[in-house]
This record gives sequence, structure tokens and C-alpha cells, in this order.
Amino acid sequence: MKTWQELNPGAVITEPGSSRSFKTGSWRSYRPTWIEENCCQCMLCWLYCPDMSVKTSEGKRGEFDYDFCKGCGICALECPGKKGQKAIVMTEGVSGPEPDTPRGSARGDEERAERAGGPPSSKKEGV
Amino acid sequence: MTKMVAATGNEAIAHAMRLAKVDVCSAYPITPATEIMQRFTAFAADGEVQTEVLLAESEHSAMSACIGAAAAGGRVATATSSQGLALMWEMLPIASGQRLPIVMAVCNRAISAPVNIGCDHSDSMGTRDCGWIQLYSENGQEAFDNMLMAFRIAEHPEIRMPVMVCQDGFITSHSIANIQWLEADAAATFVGSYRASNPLLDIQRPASYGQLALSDTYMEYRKAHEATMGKVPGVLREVAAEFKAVSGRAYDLFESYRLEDAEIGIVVLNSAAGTTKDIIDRYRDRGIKAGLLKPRLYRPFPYDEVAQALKHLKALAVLDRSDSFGGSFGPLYLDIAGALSTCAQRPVMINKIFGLGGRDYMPEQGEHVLDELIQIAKGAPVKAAKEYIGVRG
Repeated sequence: MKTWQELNPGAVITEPGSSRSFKTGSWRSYRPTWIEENCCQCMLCWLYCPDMSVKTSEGKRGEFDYDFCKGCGICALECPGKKGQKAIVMTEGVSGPEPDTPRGSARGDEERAERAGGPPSSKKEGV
Repeated sequence: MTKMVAATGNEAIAHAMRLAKVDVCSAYPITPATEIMQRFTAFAADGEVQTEVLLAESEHSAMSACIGAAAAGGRVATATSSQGLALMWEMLPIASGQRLPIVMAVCNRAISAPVNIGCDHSDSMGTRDCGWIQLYSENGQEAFDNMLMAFRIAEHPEIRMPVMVCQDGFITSHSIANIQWLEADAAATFVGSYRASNPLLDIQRPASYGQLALSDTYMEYRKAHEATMGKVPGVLREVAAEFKAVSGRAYDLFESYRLEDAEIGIVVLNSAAGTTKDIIDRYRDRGIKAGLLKPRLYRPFPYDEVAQALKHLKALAVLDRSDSFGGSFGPLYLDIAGALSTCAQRPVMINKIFGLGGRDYMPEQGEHVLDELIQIAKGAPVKAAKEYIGVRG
């Protein structure tokens, strides 16, 4: 870590793209999972992501960038999926696709998960 | 040969901005600072300056525009007063935290409510901890000189901080007095050109302003800010020495008036210092050893130098033209008390609150204060550590 004598005056950043080194994925409390067989490659998730956490390769959707995804769930909300099956689901918890122990019965959490197309405690995973 | 003119304090500020060849000026009118921009926009309209003048929809926007223009790399100035300065408040620490050398003239005016347009120092005192450098001016001449020197201090490579140049609203801003201009060539040479450290318009060297610094780095930035402020007195003295060479007028961190052999003293800012000097002269004629200290550089406050100048006194009154409500003392008193707190020998101190909301500071008020100090210096007990003077009831 830099001492106060070594800082750039005014916190001005002169190295472009330095936000790459500030990983914000740990802010996440919901984790999106991509289900490739349900994906129609509409790229709405890529378009709507407020960060740049939907990776692409050769015009196709790729995996999530979990170093920066904050779990806002907008991608899952917008995802049209295929035949009523969402291609992005939100599960509670930071790291794994398995849902963590539900955090009490806070209605806000459930509503948020439901809005985002994720599995609230009363529904089956992946629905 | 420098030219002597009759001008208001506001005209003096506008001329200083003209002479400094400001690149961008964004402002919103407010009494009593309006005349500064009225004069300056006339210079711009008449082609006397090549300044981009941005008339914003509020002071908050005006300061925001100044911040953007300064980050872009321009020399930037503005002016405001009272509620306008209050509305700018949110942006002030952003200007200083991003180390943008904006120069702002402040016509000191009371703060609402009740609504009042008269002079007191509540506006700039409310911004004293925003990380800006603050200079105070006794009269139009000092406002003019401070404004010119402010660009040099703000833009000094070791400093790069915004500067407020304060003068008393109406008393100084609207009073016509003799002012010596600096010739345009001399002023241009003195102020010089400015090159920003990381201008946004330098597209070859991209920079980003307004960064996040959380608990792991924020405190280091604050320490760096404080350390930079510590360099201001030295830079101010260098700049003042150069200014004296071109103008013949000498300035320091503060003005000491008949203070060296004084036993009693008054500390007061801005225009009231002029009245107080006359009172002190009359008391000196009667053999009473009275003196005055008029701070010029208020932020950063030169604690050590002020303490050295005051510690030999027996009794000292600090006259505040604003108050820190809630049983505390006026802000100037608190700084003077802080400065003297490390001195083994120091004067007994009293605090007077005067002249709020344009209330005149009359010579009799200063005389009463000096009479009280004479008694305290003889050992009389202090009747009130803090007292409003010139107030009914």
C-alpha cells in the first residue's frame, strides 16, 4: 500500500483502465448462473449489465465475469430464455451456484430474487 | 507608473480577474458579489478578455462547472457570497480534494434566516474546513492584490489548491476607494501562465478525476492534503515578495500593527481592522500600549507565527464577525486560542461577537473593548469570556 507521500495529488488516475485491478465481485449477495441450453443468444444480458460482467467471444455469449459481477440480477430479469426457461438464474450467496441458507424470511430478499427470475424458497431451482 | 483609480472592491476583483487572463469563469449572481461578474462579463463582451463565461443555473452548478473547467486544464475563477457559497458547499471539498486551483472571490455576507444582505463572516467561516486556502482583505486594494496573488498561490506546483479571497460585503465590495492598479504587462508577467498537472484535455495522457478511495487510502489523501496546506505559508511569502517587487506593496501571513511593544491587543479580520487601527492610534497617543493583529491567511492558519506575535501580550480580545452557536466561541477566537495554547506565557483572552448582518462596527465599540483589556491587564477578573457587543438588551 502506498504512503501518503506517494499518492497522486487529487486522487487523479493517470493509468487508463485501472478499475480492472479493483475487483468488486465480493460485493455480491446473489450470484447469476448461466444455463447455456436455455440461451437464445439475444445478448440482452450483455446489453443491460451495468458493469461489463457478461463476457463474449466471437459474437456469442460467454461465462459471467465473477470478479466484477455485483449480483444485481438485471440480466436475469431481462433474460427471455427459451420456452419459458430462463437462461440466467439468481441464487443467493456469493460464491457458489448452490443457494446458501436462506437469510431469515426477509420479504425484500425474496421479492428481489423473484423479480430477478431466481428461485425463491418456495420454488424449484431453475424455474 | 502605476495608475491610481477610484473603484469599488468588486471592480477591483473584476480587474484582477481581467489582468490574470482567466480561461473560464462560471458564476451565478448574488448580492453583494453580483457586480464582480457584471463587470467581468462586460470585459468578456467587449473583447478585453478571452474568457469562456458560463452563466450557470445555480451556485452549485457554477462551482461544478469551475471544477470541470479546472480539471480540463484551464485557469478558472468565480465569485459568490452568503447563500450562494452555502449552496456551493458540497462542491468545495471536491475542488480542493481534486487539487484544482480555482480562485474564488467571496463578498462576506450574513447567512439566512432571517434574510439579510449585510456583511458578516458567517458564509466563509462556514467553509473554513473545506480544504480551501482563505485570504482576507481589509479594503479594495488588498482585495485586488490578494486576488492577483491568489492565482500564483493556487497554481504553485507545490500547492495546486483552490483559494478564496474574502472581502467585506458592501463595506468593501461597494465602497469606492483609491486603488492602485497594476499595469497589464506587469500583472501578466507576475501572474504568468498556468500549466495544469493532469489536464483532461490532454488526450495523449488520459486522466480520470473523481475517484473512489475507501478506508484503505482515504486517510492518506487527507494527510497529503494537510501536508500540502502546511507549505502554503512559505509559498505565500515567496509570492508576496515577488508582488512587492512589481507593486511596492508588502504583504505577509498577517499584519501586525503596533504590536511589538504592546501590552493589550485586538485580533480582527477585514474592514473592521481599519477602524481598529485608528482607535489604537488614539490610545497610543494617550500612552496606552495597544496593538492589532489582522489575519490575512486564515486557512491554513499560521498558528506558530500568530502565537509568536501575540504571546507577550497581557490581555487580548478577539473580535469575531460570526459566531459558533451553542456556547462555543467565535471561529477566529478558537484559532487564536489554539495558537496560544502551547505558549507557557500567554495573554488573558476574551471574545467579542460584533457587526453581524451588516451592523456597523463603531469606534466606541473598539474603545470599550480596549478599556476592558486595560483593566484585565491590571489584574481585573474577566466578566464574560464571550460577549455580543453593539447589540440591544
